[in-house]
Amino acid sequence: MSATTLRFQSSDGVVITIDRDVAQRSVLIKNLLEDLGDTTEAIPIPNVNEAVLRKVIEWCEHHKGDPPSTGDDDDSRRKTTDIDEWDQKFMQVDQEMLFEIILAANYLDIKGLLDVGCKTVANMIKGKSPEEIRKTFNIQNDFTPEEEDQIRRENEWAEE
Amino acid sequence: MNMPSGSPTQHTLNTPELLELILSQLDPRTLLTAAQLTCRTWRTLIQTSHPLQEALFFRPARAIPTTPAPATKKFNPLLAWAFPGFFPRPPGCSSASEAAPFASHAVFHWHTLDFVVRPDKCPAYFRKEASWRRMLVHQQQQQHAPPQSVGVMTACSGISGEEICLESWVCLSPFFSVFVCVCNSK
Repeated sequence: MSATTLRFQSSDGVVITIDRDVAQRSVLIKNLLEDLGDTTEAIPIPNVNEAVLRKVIEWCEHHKGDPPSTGDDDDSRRKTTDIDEWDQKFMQVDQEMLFEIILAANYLDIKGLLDVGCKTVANMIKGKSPEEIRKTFNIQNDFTPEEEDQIRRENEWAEE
Repeated sequence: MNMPSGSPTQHTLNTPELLELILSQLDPRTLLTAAQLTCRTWRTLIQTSHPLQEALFFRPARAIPTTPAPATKKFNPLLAWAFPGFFPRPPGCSSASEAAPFASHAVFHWHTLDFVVRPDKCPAYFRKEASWRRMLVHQQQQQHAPPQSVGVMTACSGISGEEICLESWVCLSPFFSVFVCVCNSK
């Protein structure tokens, strides 16, 4: 009989106890547990600090009843940026936290959370000019004026 | 395993797999216009990523062996917006939609074309490098046959009946050139 709770240690050394079925929303953890068997040791999560880990756990707890991700790309093919209301509220965090959640979801292999994070960023891009996008994400414009002009000429027809 | 230095934003946007996931959530217009003009990294990724090229209808969708071919074709929403007269409309809908099942024929109305409504955009449409010329009219997973070649004669015969058959069309550009010639000669 497996333990019903597991202990994880964040990158800043905080140990957090989580229900096993919640933790297994992470494919990384799920595979780790299959290899590890039963453990009472705190499992180190070296890339994720406490604040981010608690956010990720909150998402996993809310979504623990969801059907498990099958790993194929079918649902990402739907081009919808509709985000469920709870997830929208969940993602109302500052920009650095939003990207921390994306990185943690990618590292821990939690597809649903990664999708919601990417959709949230996509929604931040929509409706912005290239200059506004650069400003939002602190990106340098490294085009030469000629390159910029060429790309604009190719796609000007599609501008509203 | 240590995180590379830099903010989480920079780290995410500098990871091609994550940037690709983010950009693949964009609507085709934003992906084609603003996103490509953001910086070289974004432009290069959009030009080279298979899923993003598929999303922009520059490349045919790859066959996924485990999923059956869709019953309806997915029409290019940007071309349907720019050239609505060439695209069939689902019954009861006022505009061409990418998801709804289509009839195979459209009734053509010249005045619905974007560059007719917006004559100021004519140069943008008519220039040689305009990207719509390289776009596929529709996506259908190619299970067996490669994309069909463009049949100019089929299309010309379609114009006379006011109905245009897009079934055998891959790109709009060659058809469009012939169409403009035919219209000018009338």
